[in-house]
Amino acid sequence: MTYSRLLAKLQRIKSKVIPPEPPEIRGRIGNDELVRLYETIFPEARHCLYIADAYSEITAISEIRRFVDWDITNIFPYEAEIHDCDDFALALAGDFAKYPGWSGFPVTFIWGDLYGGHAFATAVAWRSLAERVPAVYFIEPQNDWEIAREQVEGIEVWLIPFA
Amino acid sequence: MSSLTKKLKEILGRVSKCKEKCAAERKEIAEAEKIADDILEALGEAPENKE
Repeated sequence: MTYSRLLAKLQRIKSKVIPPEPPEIRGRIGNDELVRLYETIFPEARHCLYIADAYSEITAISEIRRFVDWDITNIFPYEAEIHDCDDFALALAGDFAKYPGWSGFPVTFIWGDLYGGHAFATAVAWRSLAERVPAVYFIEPQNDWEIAREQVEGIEVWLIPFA
Repeated sequence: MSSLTKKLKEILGRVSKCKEKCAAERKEIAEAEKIADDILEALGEAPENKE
């Protein structure tokens, strides 16, 4: 009885520690396209986009969401200045960067004057696996909710680094 | 001592050793379960109500 309970707990730990299987269906997206997509939302974005790689991988937003749902960045308590918006955003972006099979996707930290100054997460992904049209998405890493494009459109952006 | 008594003593000795081993293993499993609980709590799972 106790042994089977221990095994069940180990299984739960495994599912929380090992990331979901990476997407099987993936493509490539060039840096020019990334810049163009952000410029349609933030016309002055070019000067705050820093792109480290020659290209990125791309998959459907549902696949990105699968990782975000698994990730536990959102469970930790907020503490002003010490563990606040920028820490949550860096942690979520960093978790994508950490795992092989997930690190190639353009999911990163965005910092701008939303709410007078806010850091959150952004991703470029296909709308779906069927409709492979790249689009920009915004995610609030403190609760994993999607931030509507209309809510951030036109804000002043200070930093979007892609790694 | 009759051979039967001797055999019974031997069996009782083995049973006693088995009980000790079982108790030690149960203790180890309980310790492992406590570690699993601590990890699950750190991973955001609410601790189970203890019976």
